[in-house]
Amino acid sequence: MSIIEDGANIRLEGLCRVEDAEPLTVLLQSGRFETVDISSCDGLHSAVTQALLVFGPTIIGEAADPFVRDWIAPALRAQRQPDQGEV
Amino acid sequence: MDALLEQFLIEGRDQRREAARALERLSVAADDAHALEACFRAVHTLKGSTGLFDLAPMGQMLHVAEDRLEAARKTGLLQRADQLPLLRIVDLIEDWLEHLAAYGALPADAAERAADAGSTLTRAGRYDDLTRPGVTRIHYVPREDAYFAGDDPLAIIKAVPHLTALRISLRDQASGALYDPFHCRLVLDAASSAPPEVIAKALALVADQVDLTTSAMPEAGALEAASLEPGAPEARSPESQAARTVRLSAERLDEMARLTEELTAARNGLMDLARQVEHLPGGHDLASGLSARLGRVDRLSEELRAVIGQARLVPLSGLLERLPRVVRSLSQTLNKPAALTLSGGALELDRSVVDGLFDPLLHILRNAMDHGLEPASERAASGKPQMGALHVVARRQAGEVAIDIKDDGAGVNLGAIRARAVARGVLDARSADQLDPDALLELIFHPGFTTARTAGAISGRGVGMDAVRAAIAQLGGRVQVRSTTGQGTTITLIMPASIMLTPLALVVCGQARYAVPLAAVERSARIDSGQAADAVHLADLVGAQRRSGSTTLTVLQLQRGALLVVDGVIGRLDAAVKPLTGLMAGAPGFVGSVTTADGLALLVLDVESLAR
Repeated sequence: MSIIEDGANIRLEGLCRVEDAEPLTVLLQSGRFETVDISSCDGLHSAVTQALLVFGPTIIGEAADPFVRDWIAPALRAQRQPDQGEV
Repeated sequence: MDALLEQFLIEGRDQRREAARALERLSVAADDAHALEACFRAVHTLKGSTGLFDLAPMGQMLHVAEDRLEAARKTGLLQRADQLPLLRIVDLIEDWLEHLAAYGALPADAAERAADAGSTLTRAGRYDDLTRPGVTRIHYVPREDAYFAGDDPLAIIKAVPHLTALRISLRDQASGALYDPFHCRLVLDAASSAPPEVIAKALALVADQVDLTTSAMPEAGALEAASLEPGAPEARSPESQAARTVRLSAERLDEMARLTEELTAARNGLMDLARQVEHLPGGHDLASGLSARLGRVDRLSEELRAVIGQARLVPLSGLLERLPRVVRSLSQTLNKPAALTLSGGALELDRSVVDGLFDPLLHILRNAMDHGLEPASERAASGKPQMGALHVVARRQAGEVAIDIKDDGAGVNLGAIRARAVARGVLDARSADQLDPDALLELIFHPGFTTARTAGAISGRGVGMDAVRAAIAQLGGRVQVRSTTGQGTTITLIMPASIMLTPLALVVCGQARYAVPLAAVERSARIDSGQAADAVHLADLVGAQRRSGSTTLTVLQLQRGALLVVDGVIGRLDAAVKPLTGLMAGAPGFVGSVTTADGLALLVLDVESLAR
């Protein structure tokens, strides 16, 4: 997969595997990023999902992968942004 | 039926269709403002109309839908989670309108189903609702070294069928600089409406890390199809041509078509009179005048036939719009995610043909979902998107309309076909080895090829492609198949662009069956053999033995009083009469052939020539 820095946004592209958890964690730990765009994401490994949950960036976009779109993204948003709708 | 209710049904079907179309568009672009507005308007109008009748459950369900759509209009976006529940409401409305048309009331369980559909919508989007009655709750705490062990806990949960909820949380809040991304801290709480044993099986590998609790409720109500994406909208017919049109019921149009046929038959009778006049002394001039005017009647009735034929044309969209629902339901049943796209809905075919295409299409889609598309895991392993793609594409092709039903599945396994054909005795091993791929593919249409078979019925699995081919032939069309291993299969139905189904009487004579155009038949009767001295015996015409020893005979009384003796009248069939080709072309006494529901070709008698 690619983790692309785009201003204050991180874009996740393709299939996000377990090994992507570490570079993503480094970026999220830097505190420079507010949003993570998953619209080109074809799958999220649990370790990557966990990093998103721990650091709580705003998840934007609608993932191509149905499981991410319909289950993981809403669950992440529900944990972090209970009062916000889907972006 | 009460005229007010009749009007409500007509408009209700339109509004339902409008809402369904808009939802399909929203499934592609959730922020399509026009679609959102159209959907809201249709639901709002339909809800308003229900108030005039005793349709409280329908009204309440539509009220919930209207509320949700109203909220979506304000934000300019229909939440993904709302789409399936709204589609289900629209599907339910379709069922109820038809029930209302047939029985004058909603089904007995309407209130219950309305409450269920409404509460599903109310709850939609609450992905952490683990408390729904009747589901099995899954509490999964993966081992801390799960990632090192190669486990992906979310992928494991994904394999659980019929998920209804998923909550992802952390077992502790450690974060910041000390955070170790490879130390699994997830806690997954999910719910599924699948049977507990199925869930346990899906989670067998991590059974030691999972707790399952099933709440005692009879109603499971599997509702969320997690990974189903409704298809793209098909080509649109003009949205509104309301100003200069009137509604005409299909039955009335059928009646007009029937009367046109009778007009043609009556004209034939006049032609005969004109011939008789010709033989009267001094009748020549009168006969010429009569013939000239009959010629005009001929042209007019041909024009009338053509105009009615045009009026009977309906766009394919009505048929195609029924398919996403079928795919949604199959996708859920088979647990295979699939996206259906439709196109070419603006093309028009005769109404009876469009009606007759639904069962064959349903059967082909079932085959594609069941046998064509591979399970998601297998697709992923072979580098395909997990979601199967189905396309139904209608297009013009040299004066005909072709409908392709494509899947991107595994393709037809030619080796398996060869083996099955030999095993079923369709072919011997040597001939089977010599067949090229196209000829092998043709075998799927062979009557002996499938295991279960019900003549004339296409519903239900196990009914073969031979039944599909027969049904399409009865509508005047033909079927082709192309398949590429690993890439998928395309079934193409090629239908004549304009066609009129001819009503026929089916008669039996000796060992064979024949069809007689009903327009030429006044009535059928049993008469004493003594009264049939001048009758024409079908057996004589087709070279069969006359049935002997019976004192009464079955006869068809044809126009102009001629009697045709047959062994029996066995039924009625509306089918496209095709001209005879090959060896049979020009055979005297026959005008063409038709295909019956069980795939047999029957000759259609040329009653005019027989009666002479």
